[in-house]
Amino acid sequence: MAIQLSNLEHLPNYQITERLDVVYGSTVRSKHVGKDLFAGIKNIVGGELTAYTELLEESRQQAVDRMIVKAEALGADAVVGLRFSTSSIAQGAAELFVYGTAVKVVRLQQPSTNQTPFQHQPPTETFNQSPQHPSSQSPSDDLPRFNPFG
Amino acid sequence: MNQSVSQMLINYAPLLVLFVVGWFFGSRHERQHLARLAIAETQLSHIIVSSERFYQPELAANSRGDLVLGSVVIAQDYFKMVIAKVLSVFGKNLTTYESLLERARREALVRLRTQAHSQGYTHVYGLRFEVSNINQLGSMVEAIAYGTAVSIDNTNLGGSYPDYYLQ
Repeated sequence: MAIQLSNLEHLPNYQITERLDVVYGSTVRSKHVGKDLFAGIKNIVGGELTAYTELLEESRQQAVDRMIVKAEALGADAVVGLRFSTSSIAQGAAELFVYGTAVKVVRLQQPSTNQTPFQHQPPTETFNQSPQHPSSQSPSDDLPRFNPFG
Repeated sequence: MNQSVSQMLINYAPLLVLFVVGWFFGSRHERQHLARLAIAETQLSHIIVSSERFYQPELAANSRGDLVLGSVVIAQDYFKMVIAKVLSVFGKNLTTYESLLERARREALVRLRTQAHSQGYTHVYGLRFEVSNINQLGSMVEAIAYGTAVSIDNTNLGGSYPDYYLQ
C-alpha cells in the first residue's frame, strides 16, 4: 500500500493505531542561469514565472518522496500532520522542507457521529509507546482544557 | 543648464523606459489575471475549502483522504516596485504588495481546488497558506496552499468534532 498523506491530525476514514516517529525530507535547490535571466526580464513586466513554479513544484515533490522513503523504512502506512516550510538559504537558493508524523493505521468500518477514532485508542498506544507519563495518573483534578492529542 | 538636463534624461532614460513598460504590461497582466481568477473561482466554487484541522466529516464509504497542493510564483512589475519604495519612505501601506500577495494566494487556492476537483474530491480540510520570497527584494513571491481533500457523502452531512474540541 502506498503511503497516504494528510495534513490533518487524523487520516480520513482510518484509525491511527500506532504513532511511530516524526519523518522529514528536504531539498536545497538553486536556480538555473538561463531561467534566472528570463525571470529578471519577467520581473520588469510582472506576471507568473512558470519556470520557477515548475522548479519549486518538482523540488517539493522530491522532498515529499524523500520523506516517504523514511516513512516506508519505519514500516508506516501513512503520514499525518504534514507541514511544508520554505526558507532561503543563500542568494538564489532555497530549501524546501516537509515534515510529518509516520503512523500505522487501520481502516474504520463504520464511522459514527458520537464515537470518534480518538477515543478508541488504548492508553498504552501513546507516542512511541513510552511509559505512562505522570500527568495521566490524576486526570480528574485537572481542569478541562484543550488537548489536541487526547 | 540645458545640456545638464538632457544629460540627465539620457542617464535616466532606461529607468524611465522600464518604469513605463512595467506600468503598461504590469497593469495589463494584473487585470487579465484578476479576470481569470474570478472565472476560475466561480467554476470551482463547488469545492468547499475549510481551514479546520479537527473536524471529522462523515465521509463517503470506502473513500480516503489525499493531500492536495497548489503553488505559484508571481513577480512584481518594475512600476509597482518603484511605487512601493516611494510609499515605504512615507511609511504608508504598501498597497502594491498587497495586491501581489492577494493574487498569489488566490491563484494557489484555485490550483488546489483544481487538483481536488480533477481527483474527484468535494471538500478540502486543514487548509494552510504559506508565502515565501524567492529573491531578497521580495519582488518574486511563491505562494503555496495545501490541505487534505476528502469526498463527503451528500446524504449525511453531519460530521463531528472530537469530544475534546467541545470542552
